Amino acid sequence: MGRYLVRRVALAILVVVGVVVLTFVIARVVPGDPAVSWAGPHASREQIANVRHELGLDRSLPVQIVSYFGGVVRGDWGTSIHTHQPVLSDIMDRAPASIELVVTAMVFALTLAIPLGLVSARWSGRAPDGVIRIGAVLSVSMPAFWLALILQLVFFQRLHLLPVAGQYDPNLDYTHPLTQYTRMPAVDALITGNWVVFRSALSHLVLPAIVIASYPLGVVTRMVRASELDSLGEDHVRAVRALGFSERSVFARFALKPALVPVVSVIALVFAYSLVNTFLVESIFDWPGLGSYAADSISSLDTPAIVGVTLFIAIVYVLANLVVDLVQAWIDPRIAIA
Amino acid sequence: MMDGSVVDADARSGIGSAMRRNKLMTVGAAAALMISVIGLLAPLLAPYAPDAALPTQTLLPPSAVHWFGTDQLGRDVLSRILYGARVSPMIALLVLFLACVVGVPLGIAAGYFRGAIDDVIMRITDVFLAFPALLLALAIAAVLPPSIGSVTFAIAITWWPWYTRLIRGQAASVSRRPYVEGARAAGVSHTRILFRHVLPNSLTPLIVQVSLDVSAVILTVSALSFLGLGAQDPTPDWGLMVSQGQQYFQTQWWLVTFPGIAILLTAVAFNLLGDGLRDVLDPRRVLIR
Repeated sequence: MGRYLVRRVALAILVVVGVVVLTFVIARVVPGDPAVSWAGPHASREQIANVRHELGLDRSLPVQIVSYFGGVVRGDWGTSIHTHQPVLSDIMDRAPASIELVVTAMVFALTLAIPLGLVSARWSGRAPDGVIRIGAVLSVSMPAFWLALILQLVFFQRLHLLPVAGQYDPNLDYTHPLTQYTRMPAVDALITGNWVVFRSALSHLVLPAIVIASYPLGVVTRMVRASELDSLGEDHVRAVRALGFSERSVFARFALKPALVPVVSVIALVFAYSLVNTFLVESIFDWPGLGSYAADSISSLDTPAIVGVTLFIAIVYVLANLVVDLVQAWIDPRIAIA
Repeated sequence: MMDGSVVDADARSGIGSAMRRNKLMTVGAAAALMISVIGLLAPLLAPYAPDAALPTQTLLPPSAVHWFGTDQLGRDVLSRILYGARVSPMIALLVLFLACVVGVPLGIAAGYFRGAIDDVIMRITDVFLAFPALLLALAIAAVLPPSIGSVTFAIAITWWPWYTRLIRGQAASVSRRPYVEGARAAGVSHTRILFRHVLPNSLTPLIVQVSLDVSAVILTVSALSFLGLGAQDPTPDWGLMVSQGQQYFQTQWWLVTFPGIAILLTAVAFNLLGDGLRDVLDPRRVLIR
């Protein structure tokens, strides 16, 4: 396990270095001149040259890549063109809102997907299985941005059931001011006991969380189903069955535990995928997270910000994969030997 | 595996009998075929030209004349959706073709020759695979001028490492089988071994993976178009149509609803087809990569 840990961490570091280099390449392939977009449309040639020098764009590529790398390590991720703030501090400001949204969606997806996958496996080939499988295919095939608009149309415009945008009703700031600790309104309202804002925050979370949950829900349901069916065929499950354990405990205890190991491995994947899906969904719901920051950066051709968000999510993804691999090796020591 | 019964596995194989057993796959195959036919025959099927703007007939609701209504420029939404079957699905096929052209030879080289070549190629794929596919495609497309070409390039460059990794595993296992070692000992050239033994034996999982990937790529293309990074007006692209309809959406629901359904149905069709093909051709493969 010790050697596995060292090797796995070393690989993760190597990959992060590669990720930084790749994001640098993306920033450099920009056909437009970053200095020109930085200086603005009315800048003189001299001003552009000054900006180019200030941004270090007049140095050679190897020098630039080394200084870019040093900057990333020191926390200097460049300055956003559209907010004129340091990219890393923008990201840190925006990340909590996205994490609140994605974690809510993941919890929602997992609490639904695991039972659904088990039901599907239990009655495999019969009606409940058919319905769940079709539902799962629909939810992985769903264009997130479209689902977001349709839900707004139905639940806000037509039924007036749920709010359309934002994190909570801004009018409540006058009547029930919220003390900010985490920048996640639902969490802040919960820890300060501000129930009025808490209710409002939850109702604002519902629609965007459903949209983000769609893909993880489908993926995990299918994964649980397939994994449980595989596991039911294993020798240890047959042995337990032969020993006369009830079908229920065979299914939910002895077959389920090993079946969940591969499921853990997709969690990092769907978490990262969901973070990227916020790019499409947050702007629609006016959610002040990383996704709407990224979408704004894309529409204002703000390369440092685009590259910064990309780098941030890639690093989160590498770390999530590392944690998942280590957890799996801890659950199943055979993995560390292979 | 998918039907949950052990009997299926040794029963008749072949796509025909599989279709009889796997109704969902049949539905998917039929729908995918229909979408291809719609794309091919769009000029015959569409009641109007996709870019024929009638300034007097803007934002009309669905009716007998315009089944899916008209858009902000007075273009027939149904006709644009039918022509749209030529845009995103075609981009997706092109992306997958390019990804295979780059990914497969690299995977074969890594798996067959091993050693330093293997290490270099696989560490590079590790870096690409450290990004969720949509993220890297987005970042690359965002720094390129918005066009269909940029989107194709951006997605293809994020997709090839999956095939390199898949094919490498196949090639590595094939190249250690006794008959390949025998061929090598008998002095058969590398090229011949690669083309006669390694490549053909790696094709089945590739076909399965590509068919499973069609809908993921279509969804990625639509997402990039929705963000304005792909096809530009007047191209009748589904993702772009949803994006353009967004501002009229509160009152003119048909502008967003119908193109979105087209994306959803296409993705569902290819997902069902891919799942079915996997069950038939490659029952041991795991669901998720």
